[in-house]
Amino acid sequence: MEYTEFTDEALLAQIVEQDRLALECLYQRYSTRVFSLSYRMLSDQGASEEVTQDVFLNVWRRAASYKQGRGKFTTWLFGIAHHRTIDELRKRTRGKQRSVQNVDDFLNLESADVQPADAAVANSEYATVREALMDLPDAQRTVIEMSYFGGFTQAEIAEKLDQPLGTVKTRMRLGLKKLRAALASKLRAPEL
Amino acid sequence: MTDPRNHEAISPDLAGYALDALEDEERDLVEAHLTECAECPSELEELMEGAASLAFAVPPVAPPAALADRINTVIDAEIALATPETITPPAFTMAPPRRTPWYASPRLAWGVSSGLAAAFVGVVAIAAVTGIQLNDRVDELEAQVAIQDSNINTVSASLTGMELDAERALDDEVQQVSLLQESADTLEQQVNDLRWLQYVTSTGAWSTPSFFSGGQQPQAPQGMLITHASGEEALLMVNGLAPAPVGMEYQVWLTYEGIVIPGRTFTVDRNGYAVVKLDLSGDATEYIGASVTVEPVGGSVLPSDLVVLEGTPQ
Repeated sequence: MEYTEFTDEALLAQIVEQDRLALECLYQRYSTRVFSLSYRMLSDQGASEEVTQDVFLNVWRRAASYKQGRGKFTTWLFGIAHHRTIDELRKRTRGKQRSVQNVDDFLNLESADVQPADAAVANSEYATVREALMDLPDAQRTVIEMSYFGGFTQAEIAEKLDQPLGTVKTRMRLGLKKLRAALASKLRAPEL
Repeated sequence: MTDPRNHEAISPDLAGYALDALEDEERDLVEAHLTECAECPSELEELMEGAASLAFAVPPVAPPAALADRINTVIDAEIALATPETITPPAFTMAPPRRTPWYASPRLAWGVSSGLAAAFVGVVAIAAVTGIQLNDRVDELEAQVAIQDSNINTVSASLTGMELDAERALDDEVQQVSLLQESADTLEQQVNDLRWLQYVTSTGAWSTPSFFSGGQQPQAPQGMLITHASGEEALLMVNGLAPAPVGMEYQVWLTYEGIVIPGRTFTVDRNGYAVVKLDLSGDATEYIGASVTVEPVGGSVLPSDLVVLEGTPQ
């Protein structure tokens, strides 16, 4: 069986055995997604390359720490990627006043650099998730975008929106649950 | 058993945790709660799936082709470091930093210089050859720390009377405090390092120190382990470790052929610094590996997989 036919979890099991080809296969599957996320949050190609490198080195070094019963591989991978990017973003903005960006600004950017072989699938996923995001009530979408893409903490969001902290927490929770429900059957990682 | 009051207070923060939207203290509380709650882990998994889907909500942009080569180069170097025949002279292999439960690593506030291990080798050599009077240096640095602390107190006192509408001036003052605090921390670190060095060089009969690391980051935590020629004791110094999560401590482990020996538990100071003396009944010079893990307060019989430092001796 070719590695391209392996599930993410099967590839990860190979990586635990120090299999470089398995890592390359996972890199082919997800490096564009990891890089895109970081690039859109940081607007810095060099820093985004560093984040992407760190994420896949983490996968290589810590494949054994992934617990299958605790969620999908992609949840784990993008969790690491986002966490690492947030760290970089907050390091850069520490002590500075940050404005609330309109996330749609960068959601609308062209994706000219995407590799042709992946373009159709990647753009389809992008459109699907964006549609689900836009279907959320504005108040829920706003707090999710501010936190996930803008790097604001829930306390900062409550202050900037002049909303009670409890309201912000509730909107985050409801919004994430709706997103998951809307995308559960649509976003399938290449797990064969 | 889960404390219902704790559950009610913490569970509303799960979405913020999934979105990386918590302050560090809030994050620590959630992570501590997750280890004891039967309900929250499954809800968090659901919320994190929702959060992970957001990674697809940005237009796809491919990374440069050279990035894959760079990653391969780093892995090649790590494999070479882990293969004793291929390196001269190997100290400790690099250990991967493990993350805290669920999906992410602890948000560790690395607080030590990246060249600490190398610096120690140099300082030990210099001290041995020239016989530097360490006491004088320690006193001098402590005096500098006291001055810096005094400066901080002065600046802090001036801040208390400022009006809210002087926000710009206040920011400047806060920055000054931060810079002074960093300076004081650095000096305090040097004092600690020199105290350690003084202790080591004054007792004699200690092995060449072995160094190990919690990662490749410039400010990754570092450790140094030396064993006494008697084989009855060993000393571990760590730097740059973040405070252990609530209800947890760090624990040292020494690995011998086919067996892992639990060592003492310990905590670190605000600089992530600690010196741990290990009393060993076996031959401390025969160990083939050492690690530091995060364990419940009081320590464990077997090491958890939350390894923050790890390595093997030369």
